[in-house]
Amino acid sequence: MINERDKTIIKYLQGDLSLSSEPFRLLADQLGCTQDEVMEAVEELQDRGIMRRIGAILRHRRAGYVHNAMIMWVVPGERVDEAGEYMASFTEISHCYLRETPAGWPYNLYSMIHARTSQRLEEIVESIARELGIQEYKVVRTVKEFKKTSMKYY
Amino acid sequence: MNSIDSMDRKLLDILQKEFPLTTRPWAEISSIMGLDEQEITGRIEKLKQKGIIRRIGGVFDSRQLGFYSTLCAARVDEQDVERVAGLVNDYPGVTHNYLRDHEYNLWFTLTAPSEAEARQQLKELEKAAGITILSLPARKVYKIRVAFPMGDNAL
Repeated sequence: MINERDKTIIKYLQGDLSLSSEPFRLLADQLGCTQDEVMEAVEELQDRGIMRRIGAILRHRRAGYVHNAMIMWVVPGERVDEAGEYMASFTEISHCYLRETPAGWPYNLYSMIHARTSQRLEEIVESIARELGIQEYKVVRTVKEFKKTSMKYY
Repeated sequence: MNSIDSMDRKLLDILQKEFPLTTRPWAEISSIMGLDEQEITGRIEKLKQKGIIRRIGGVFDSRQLGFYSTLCAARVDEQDVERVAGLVNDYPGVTHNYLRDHEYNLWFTLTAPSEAEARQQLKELEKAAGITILSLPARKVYKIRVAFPMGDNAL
């Protein structure tokens, strides 16, 4: 369960850490504890699986990963785990999900690919399709970004 | 991108993958990289100004926090896209919103404190924007990005 102390920490860490020499000092003040205790609490949030990681979140396009696409795949139910795990093994694939399929919508597996060249992107898609024998898939490229931010939970 | 050097790349890798959980993380990174702390924070500041670093902080698992999230898609007339995208952007639970080259051209993610609340917001949005929204919540996660390798030999 998420308690008030957790919420205070999450609220602090969902923003941008200060570049002052002790960026957790303010959080320690808010919690009324020492900075070392804050570090323990942050580590605990990570151990509980509530926080995936702490660190820099990049704008991948600006960081040179300019060829990005979402691939939607149609994979038979009994093969989704094999396919999902295979796709996940590629460094260039950042996200891979099995999603619900509303009526009339065939695609069930989704992977996000980020590559530095268009050729590399196509190579990956083709090799996955070939390796897994998937006939039906669609490469969907981003045309414009309207919003990209991090969730503010509290 | 063209104006970042190999020190910046190394710094970006550390900041993404090995962020030191200590009370003085910038000092710790400076000792790992052999630069002084002010140079480290100065470089980070510049990487933010260049738009390469969006933020430095925690990445949370919305499900573990009891939140519901879903990927949504809608078919929107080209001349109406900016207006609809604006309506979508107004929801604080929408964290990503893109125009994509597919018949379903507007794609966004919605996170809400519960499934009921997410459904309610989508219903509201459908009405306000005059669109039908396809909601595609995840049933299983195979991978979630950890980091984009930046080192000189990356990918």
